[in-house]
Amino acid sequence: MIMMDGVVKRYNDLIALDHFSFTARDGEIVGLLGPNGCGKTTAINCMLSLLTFDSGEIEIFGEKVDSNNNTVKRRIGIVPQELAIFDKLNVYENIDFYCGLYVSDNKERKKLVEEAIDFVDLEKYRKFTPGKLSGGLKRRLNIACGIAHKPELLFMDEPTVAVDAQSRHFILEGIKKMKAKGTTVIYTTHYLEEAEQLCDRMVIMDQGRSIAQGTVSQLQKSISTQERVEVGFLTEDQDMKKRLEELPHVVKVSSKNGNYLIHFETQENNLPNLIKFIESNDLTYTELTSERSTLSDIFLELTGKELRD
Amino acid sequence: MTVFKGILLHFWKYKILILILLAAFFGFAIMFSQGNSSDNYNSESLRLKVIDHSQSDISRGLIEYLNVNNEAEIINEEKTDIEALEEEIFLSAIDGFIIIPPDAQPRFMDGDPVVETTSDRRTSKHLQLQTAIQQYFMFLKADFDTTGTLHPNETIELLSESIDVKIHESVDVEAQSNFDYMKNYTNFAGYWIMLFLLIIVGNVMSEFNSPELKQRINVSPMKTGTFMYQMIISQIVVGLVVVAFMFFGAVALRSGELSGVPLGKMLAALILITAFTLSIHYVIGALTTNKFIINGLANFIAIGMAFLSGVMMPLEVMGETAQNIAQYLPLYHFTQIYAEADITWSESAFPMLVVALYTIAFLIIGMIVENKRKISS
Ligand SMILES: Nc1ncnc2c1ncn2[C@@H]1O[C@H](COP(=O)(O)OP(=O)(O)OP(=O)(O)O)[C@@H](O)[C@H]1O
Ligand SMILES: [Mg+2]
Repeated sequence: MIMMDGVVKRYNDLIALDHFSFTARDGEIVGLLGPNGCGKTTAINCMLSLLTFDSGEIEIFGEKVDSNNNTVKRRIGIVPQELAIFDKLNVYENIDFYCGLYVSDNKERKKLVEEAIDFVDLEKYRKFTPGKLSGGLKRRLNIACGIAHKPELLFMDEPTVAVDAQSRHFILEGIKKMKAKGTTVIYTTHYLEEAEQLCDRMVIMDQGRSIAQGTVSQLQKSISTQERVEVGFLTEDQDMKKRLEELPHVVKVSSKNGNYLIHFETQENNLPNLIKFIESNDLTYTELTSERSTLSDIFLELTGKELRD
Repeated sequence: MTVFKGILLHFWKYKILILILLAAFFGFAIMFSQGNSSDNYNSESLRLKVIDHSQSDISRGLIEYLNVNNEAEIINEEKTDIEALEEEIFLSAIDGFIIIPPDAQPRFMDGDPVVETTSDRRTSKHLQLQTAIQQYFMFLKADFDTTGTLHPNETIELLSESIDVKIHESVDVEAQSNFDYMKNYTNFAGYWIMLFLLIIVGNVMSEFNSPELKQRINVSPMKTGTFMYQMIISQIVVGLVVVAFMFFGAVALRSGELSGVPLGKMLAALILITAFTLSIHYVIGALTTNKFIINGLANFIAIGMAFLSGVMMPLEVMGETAQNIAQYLPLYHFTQIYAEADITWSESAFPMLVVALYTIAFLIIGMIVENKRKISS
């Protein structure tokens, strides 16, 4: 569906995309993740041929991207990061306008617009102009404008920023339904839970490069720490850190709030091994918690940055 | 036609502002129109009483002449009560009375004032009476000076003929005043259309030209050519609706007072100034999408040009420099399209061509600016 190979995009001295490669298969939801300024929006704009790029290749639906190829454009939808809605038009008129760029049949368009309004749950606000909508409601309108014509390929650039948890859940469910009907979605977000919940595959970007791709479990395997266990003991022992490090599969031991934080390189049998160790040494523990690595750990380890601003 | 519809929908959202601007315009137009028509001086028939002590040829002639357009009642000289007559004027029972002294004829020969009139000085009827009497004696005197004899009857005939001529002339005067009014109206309408289109079209199009929306529309399968086409068509439609309002508004306002007005040329001028304004707007739109700058420029251009083109006040009032500059401004040529009441199409052709060329020039400038901006982004 999408093939992006070795794309380089420069803004004067700044390299926004540095030999960036990316693929998305039919019917997949692919997450594009990365810190601010890593080039997510730039990558999407190149795919949409809104931007020209310096070298590399991009194919969509098996055809080279071309800003004049209207048959390809007709099959694509976009929910841009920056709101693209008319201040003077109300909710219905905005969606109708954008849908009208793709669908000229009045009757069919009317039906599609109604469906889009349902999709983002804006029925109550259909006569409101954006000036009277809250930030989150505007975001929902922005989404409706992008999806109304039922594209086969949908780009969503941080669509759920400022949308409250309940509506976000509603929208994510909607996207899953679209996927079920065969829509391919390219999704960028800063919310890792969202990506974990929604995306079949993820591409992690940093400084214009793709540094890791795969499913959540594939990505997890690519990093050193798989599980972290925090443990505290009643009695102090000088050698304790060293003795913990000798346990199987331990990568490192650090301290946290006066407790020990043990990093394991696998996820198997770490807690039973630790409990066996405690029992055999007659120790009393005050606290014992275990945590599997999350996407945010993956992120931190791969990029050295927290994803959330 | 989604863009076309979208743009018209945007104009519709400005309906309140548009209505206010239209109301303001027609408010002015009606105000001017009323001030103008009250200038039309209508002479009315006067109710007069005459006391004739002279009973001479000239006194009988005067009475006969006054009776052509008025009612002059001769009253008995014995029972004259001046105070009662004054009372009648005060009560508006009569408009005035005339006392012809016994020595009217010798007085006339000597060139002295012949009759004594009394009327309400505050009304226009006073003036009307004076004029009528003066006219009679003037003509009589001219006749006497050339022939050496008095012929009051011929004088009356002569005067009546000259009244016919006057009536004929006053039709021309009416045509001139019709034209003057419509000329001022069209000047003002030209200025108003410029301001209106620059502000309203400027605001609507700045929305469509904002980068986020432009990008978003670029992603869609709408061809750039189709987009431009629909944009231009929608602006032309709005422009023509505005011109129709201005033009037919005037026709309705002045129905019956349109003889001698070159309406066709005025309509052509309004259409041309609309096209010209849209071309200026195109350049502004290519330069900026900032609404404050657009509104500022709109006022600056429209008011500046209006002042320098004789739309706001006659050019003759201004200095020579201003007049020289005006020659180069399209709004000046706009006013020249309908400069005279009896202007012919071939005389209008040149200023029409100038405005059209200005329009084309601005369109070309706009295209150059837009291409430059596209390349730099
Ligand atoms: N028009 C531009 N001119 C110059 N530099 C730009 C331009 N647009 C983006 N950049 C730079 O390119 C880099 C990538 O920007 P991009 O918008 O793609 O980031 P992003 O991953 O979408 O970030 P965010 O998560 O904040 O949306 C950034 O360093 C940005 O400053
Ligand atoms: Mg972005």
